[in-house]
Amino acid sequence: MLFAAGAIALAALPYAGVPPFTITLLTEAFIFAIWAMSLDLLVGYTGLVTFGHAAAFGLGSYAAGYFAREVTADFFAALLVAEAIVVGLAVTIGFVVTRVSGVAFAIISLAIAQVLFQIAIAWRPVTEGMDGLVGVPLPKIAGFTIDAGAEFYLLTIATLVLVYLGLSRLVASSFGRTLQAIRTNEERAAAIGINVRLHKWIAFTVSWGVAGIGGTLMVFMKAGTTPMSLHWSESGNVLVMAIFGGVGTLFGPMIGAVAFVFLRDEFTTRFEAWQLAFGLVFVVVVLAFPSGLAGIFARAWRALWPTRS
Amino acid sequence: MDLNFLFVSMLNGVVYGAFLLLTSLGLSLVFGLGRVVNFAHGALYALGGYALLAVIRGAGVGYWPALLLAPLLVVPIAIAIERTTIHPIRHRSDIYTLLVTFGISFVIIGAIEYVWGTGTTLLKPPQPFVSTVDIFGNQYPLYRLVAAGVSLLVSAGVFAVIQLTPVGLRIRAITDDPGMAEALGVNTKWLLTLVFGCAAGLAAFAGALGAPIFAIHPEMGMSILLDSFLAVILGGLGNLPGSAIGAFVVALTKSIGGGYIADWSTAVLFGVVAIALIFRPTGVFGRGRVA
Amino acid sequence: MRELHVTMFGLLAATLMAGASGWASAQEPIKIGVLTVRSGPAKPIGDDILAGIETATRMYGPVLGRQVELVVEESLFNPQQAVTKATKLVQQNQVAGILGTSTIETLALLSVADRLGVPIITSNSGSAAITRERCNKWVFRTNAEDLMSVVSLQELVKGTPRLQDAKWFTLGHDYPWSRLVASSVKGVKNLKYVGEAFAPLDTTDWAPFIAQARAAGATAVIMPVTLGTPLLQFIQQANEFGLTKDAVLVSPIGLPDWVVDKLGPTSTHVVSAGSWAAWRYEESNPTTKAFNEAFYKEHGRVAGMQALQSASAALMLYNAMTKAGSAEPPAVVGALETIEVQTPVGPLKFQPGGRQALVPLFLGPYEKLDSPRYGASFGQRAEALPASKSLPKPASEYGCKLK
Repeated sequence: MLFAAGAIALAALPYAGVPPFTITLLTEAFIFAIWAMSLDLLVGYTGLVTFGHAAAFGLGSYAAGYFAREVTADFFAALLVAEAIVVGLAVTIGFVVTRVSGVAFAIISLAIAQVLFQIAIAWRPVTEGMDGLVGVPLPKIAGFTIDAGAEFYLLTIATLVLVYLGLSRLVASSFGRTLQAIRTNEERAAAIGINVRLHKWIAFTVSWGVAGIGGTLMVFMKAGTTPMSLHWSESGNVLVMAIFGGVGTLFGPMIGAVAFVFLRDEFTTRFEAWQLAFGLVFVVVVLAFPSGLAGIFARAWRALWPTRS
Repeated sequence: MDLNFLFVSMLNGVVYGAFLLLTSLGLSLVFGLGRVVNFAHGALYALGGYALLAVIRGAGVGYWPALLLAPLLVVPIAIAIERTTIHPIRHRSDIYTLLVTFGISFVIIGAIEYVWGTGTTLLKPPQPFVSTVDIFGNQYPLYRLVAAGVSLLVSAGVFAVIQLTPVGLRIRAITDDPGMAEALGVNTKWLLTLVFGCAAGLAAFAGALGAPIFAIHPEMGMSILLDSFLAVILGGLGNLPGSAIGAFVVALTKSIGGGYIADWSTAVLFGVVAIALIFRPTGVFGRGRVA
Repeated sequence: MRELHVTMFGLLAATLMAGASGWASAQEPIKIGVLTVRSGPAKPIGDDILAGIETATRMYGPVLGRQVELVVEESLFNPQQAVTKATKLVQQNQVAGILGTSTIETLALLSVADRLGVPIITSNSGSAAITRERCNKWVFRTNAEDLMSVVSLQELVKGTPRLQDAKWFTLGHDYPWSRLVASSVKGVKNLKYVGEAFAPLDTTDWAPFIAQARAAGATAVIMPVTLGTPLLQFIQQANEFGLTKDAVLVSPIGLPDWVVDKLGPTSTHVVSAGSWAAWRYEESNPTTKAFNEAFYKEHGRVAGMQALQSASAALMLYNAMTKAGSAEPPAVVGALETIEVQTPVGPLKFQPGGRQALVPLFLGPYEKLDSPRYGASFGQRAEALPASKSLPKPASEYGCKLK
């Protein structure tokens, strides 16, 4: 009930006098939140740190955007196509990369993302190279165009809530607990008969699939995408969001994404040396709050209601 | 294209490889000793370039003395960074030191932009190395050869220190087994700090040495950082000889690839690294050993 | 824990609601957005763009009796960020127009221009599609597009015997633009074309690519390289390898003047096949001279290519507002279609039925000046090629169909 109330409160924001640009930023932040949660499934729950998560997001953007522009702007059709492509590739890549873990996994995933980045630059008939895929129409649902602004924001909220519910059920399931066992100690998990590689493979595929949903929303929001969406700096950004917010909880990455988007917007508007300010805040949070922003909130929560939780 | 072209491409690769060697060694050492994946290595490299400028302009000295002084300015900064940010969280999981250095990289680059602006500074190679030399009928810039030679010499020096000196012995002991080393009375804490400082000094030296070739600007370290990472991981994190070979593999792949298939050259490099790691996840030459 | 999460959702919502506050409708100044790069290696480009707009704004004075307030936003040179910031300029700052974008930002804004609903005048975008097949009612361009540059390149070759006999090589970054430049050189009749190489975008060591040009025996190298730091690195390294002894470097769109300043004597190895602007055009255009002087007084340096261009875009916008008698976007767009304005790049108007300004291109070599002017010791000798040569037909003939 309370959860529904929170979601409804968020959904009511555009009609409660919140400035349109705040809604725009929130839309962006919640799309990133979907992406950051998908990353957390790998980083926080399975213990697989990746430097190439932009691959799944960017690929979803390209697939959905191209389909929407060339065939139909129907949101679900575009989403379906994007998911088919992203999940299809994730199954293939995941089969290979889940052979390894640790730093090797991080770097291989980076390498794969960079190869996709290069393909986006070189496959000009489809991607238009560095100029990027432009002119993606607004999405349609059941024939109705979803306008930029409040309507698109609601679509994003709805998607976010569904993804959150789905993922929280997944991580609470026995499958999710097995993932956490693998994160804690891979050898022990294998010793008690868990098929570690199969679990990692599934987690990888689910993670990419969820990221692809975020990518689909983003390409509609921005009406296009470019190879920069696949660049390693984007993979760094999503890692920052997840860890800044606090990995190992689904809520952390969500807060991290919101904080990231709003801080970046403020800092880039206010300071020319925004990297300096951004870096300082980041270092302080990592040093002082190992469990991220979610950890700060949780600590405050416990201070206020020491008897609960 | 002919054999001569292959030769020139390989020469380019060897020169760039010698340079990458210098940046990779520090990265590998810091990982081998404290399991710190140092994302700020590229920013420290850039800081070296700016320290060089500051010394040349501030002290009015020539290029060569400035090349020696510049790293000395960066080492104390790096030590201060290590003591305040990395040292307090060494007991946490590796991911946190990586994150902190990621943030520090932003801070350093931002500080450089704040202090020196974002402009690019071109630096002429020092006399008498401005000209080109003839190598089998190919004009080749003399300074690149000199810089490659200096890189190789300094790298050899680093290997010698680790292999032959008492400090080197301690470094090797910690890399092999930090717990055992500490039990035997090796003061690991300050050694880790010291090695971090020296690795930063190496990065800064490389930045200063490369300045006349690649120019000085705030983000000059980013692409070299990526290449060095690939080299170090290919060779096995913390494995110094492995990193050395990795540096040349990366550089040769880039230059020969760039010579024949320009636009796909980095994609080929990443493909090579991915395939190598799938078969040898701990690096082609294994991990964890320093020299 | 579940309750904790739920409460956070609620808290987040409540905080955002509390932060919501209406704003007073902006009455006095006219706000103009400047969306350009403010950090990183490309910042000097953004600096010149912003500086040009500032000087033009001061020179023009009040518009419709109201002060002009420039609202500067950082694009990060990233298309998606540019869309967010343009939205911010419109939704939060309520700007009456957006200036200052470069190609990748403009391309990204094209897709959302109808949603933004304010005139966008770019002065630093090459991609021809922006005013051809992708043209949009709201998006204007004052600098010459790539296909105009192609015509001027052919003019330059025609008029320069040394270039006619040269062996041509294209060496640039892997942009669609670079490939367009390459194919246009190939398309010139009776020209010897010996090869091409397109380097990855993060290239800092150009040695492998310079080796290719060398091996092909190139004597004219056209360089579609990212303006700014990469171009500076490339020219420096070409010089280091002695490539400049064997070959002329041909710039397809001109060098920013801060690049010329850093290169010094090395810049004299470069010929521009069609700069978007050139400050030495002041020798034949008094408006350019007046602007150069004002710019030097304000910023203490020579007005670079990007500054001259962005100033021209700003002047177009202010004149259109004056003509329309209002800063309302649809009226301003209507006025932009009809005005003709004296600008630092010459008299400007937009092509009939289209969004591309009929702007000259400037051909000529970079050379040492007899005596420094505005602090510059080197500069491009600028011969103007009128738009009647590079863009002779109306917009519809080039694939632009405005809704």
